Amino acid sequence: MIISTFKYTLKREIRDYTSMLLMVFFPAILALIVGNALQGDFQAPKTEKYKVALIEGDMYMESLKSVFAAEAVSNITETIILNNHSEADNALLLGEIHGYIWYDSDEINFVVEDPELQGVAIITFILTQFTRNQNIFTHQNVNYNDYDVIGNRLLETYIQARGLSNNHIPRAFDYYGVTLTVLVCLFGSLYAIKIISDTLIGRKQERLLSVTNRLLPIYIGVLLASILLVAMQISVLLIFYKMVYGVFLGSNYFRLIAILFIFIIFSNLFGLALISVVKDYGIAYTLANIIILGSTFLAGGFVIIDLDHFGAGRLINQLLPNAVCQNVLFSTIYETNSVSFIEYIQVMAAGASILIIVAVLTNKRRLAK
Amino acid sequence: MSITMLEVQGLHKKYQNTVAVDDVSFKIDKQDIFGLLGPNGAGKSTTISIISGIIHRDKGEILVEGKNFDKNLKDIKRNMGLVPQDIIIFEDLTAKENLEYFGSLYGINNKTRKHNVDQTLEFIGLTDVANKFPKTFSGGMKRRLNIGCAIVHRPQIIILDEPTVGIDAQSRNHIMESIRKLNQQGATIIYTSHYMEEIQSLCNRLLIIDKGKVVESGNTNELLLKYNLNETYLIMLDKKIQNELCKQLNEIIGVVKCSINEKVLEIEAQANTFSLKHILDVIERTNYKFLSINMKRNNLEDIFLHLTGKTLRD
Repeated sequence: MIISTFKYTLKREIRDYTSMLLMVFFPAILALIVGNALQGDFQAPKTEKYKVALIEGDMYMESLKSVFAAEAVSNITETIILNNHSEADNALLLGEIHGYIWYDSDEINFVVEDPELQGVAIITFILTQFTRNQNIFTHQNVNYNDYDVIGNRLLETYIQARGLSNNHIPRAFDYYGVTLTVLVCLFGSLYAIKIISDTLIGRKQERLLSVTNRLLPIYIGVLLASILLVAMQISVLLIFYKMVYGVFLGSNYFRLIAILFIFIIFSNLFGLALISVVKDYGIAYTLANIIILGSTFLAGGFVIIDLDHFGAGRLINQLLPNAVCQNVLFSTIYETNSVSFIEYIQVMAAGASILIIVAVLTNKRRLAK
Repeated sequence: MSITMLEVQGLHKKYQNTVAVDDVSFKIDKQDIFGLLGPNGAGKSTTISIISGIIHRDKGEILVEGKNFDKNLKDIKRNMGLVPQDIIIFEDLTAKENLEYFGSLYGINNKTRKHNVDQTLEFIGLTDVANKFPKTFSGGMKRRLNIGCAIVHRPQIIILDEPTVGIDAQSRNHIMESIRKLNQQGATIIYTSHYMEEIQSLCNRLLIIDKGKVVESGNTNELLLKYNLNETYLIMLDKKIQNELCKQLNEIIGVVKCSINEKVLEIEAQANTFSLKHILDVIERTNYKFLSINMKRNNLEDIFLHLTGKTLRD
């Protein structure tokens, strides 16, 4: 019964051109809309390193030189040493450097040509960390040679904070590509809602109940078909993102696919629970859209909102399924190990269990009536 | 000796404050064509839903071929086919695929299924359009496919809930003939319809329910005789009829009502106490000649309205 339901549901849905077109084109259209908004970031990744000049100065500049000489930093930036300001200004005017840094009595100054460049953000971050930490090192009489270690550690902190890879200069679309993929996985729940309401709600359910006592195999067959369709859609989407926009997906594809597949199962169970509770396709569809977009908003998908000062940000990041999925994806793609795969599976299993219980209880209650 | 196929005792179902079915009992023999009648909201659909295993009853006993309904529900469902009132088929599956899918849900194996599907397609007259999608079908074709999905597994009991709603005369005739054929092949039929002439011509036994309760039940012909209290005669005479004739006719024992429409005399009389000869004698005595006589007996619809009343239902 599971296999035949799976087979015929798949046939039905593939023949439903409208929903197929919508499901395939929707992510692409969404990508184009976001792409337009982030047009500058859609260009091919810049292989050019950010060129920064350090102006000779006292011992703090020597320390800074060591930081910029660290391997992790030198992979992203190219540092040159200049003697004074006029040399640096000339180099900036001639386009030989993107910016320069000098130490002036009690503060470090960073002069930039284009503040929007990604390299500026990275260097600013390094400088902030450097100035914040230098007193501790001075107090501890850290040898200048240790700054190599410090440099690596500082960049690592930056990577963890922003999800950057050692070997990749991310563009905004790398970030949004992942967020969009998670969003489309969640939109997959609409598929579940549609297929279940087409098969197992109202009069159809009555007819099926006149055929068999056990609707569970039919539910499983229908959900498997929905999961496969969404998985196919996500595959198309990832290929599209990779081929068209060159979205950085890291190197651990197996883990990436496993994470997404688990999330697709979760989103389908969400659809099942929702239609089981609501019992009406239109209401379930609308509610799903609101929940999906709302949770994406909270998960920091398109609008970054700082909820930390309410103490909610951390909770959302740890409990909201799409936030957890996004985090584990970033962690896998950029190899930062900030969220473990096991942790992710635990959150998803807990969420899926709740959804299954809700679906089973509501269906049992309804059938008992 | 007849074999009891389905026996229902004291069936009761309540929805919140509304009693949908109240102490309904009936017995259906093997190969009966059993008509279930009732106005809207009488409890027909609830009764059908209960005996098809779609909804649970609150009280009552159901036996199918002597077996306990609840304990053998899985087997009973596989031996039963419900044709719902609404057309419930999958529009994005072809006619053949619809039958295959329902066949698989009824648990018939691949080889038997293939054979049954081909036979069913032929039976419902859709062989030529087997690979077409129902969305391209007419209402009648969809109705036939709706029936096909319920008989693809060769059930012993077939329940048809208003299977001829909204279709043309040809499709309706095909469906009626198909039901007779299925019955001849050994199936027991439970049939509901609002078309009384269908039930009268098809069903050998009837159950009339109203407001959840059984109003009448029994053999169709026996019920027709039992409730055939008045007969109506339409007599055409050679000239315009005067009121005097009606007065004389009204004096005859058994005549209930007499009315005139130019040359036509309409006489309603009690079936058992009345003599047509007396009427004809009076007509001749008053210098009229009769040209034709038609008699109209009570049909099922008259009986139904007599039992359930003429008040409009929701």
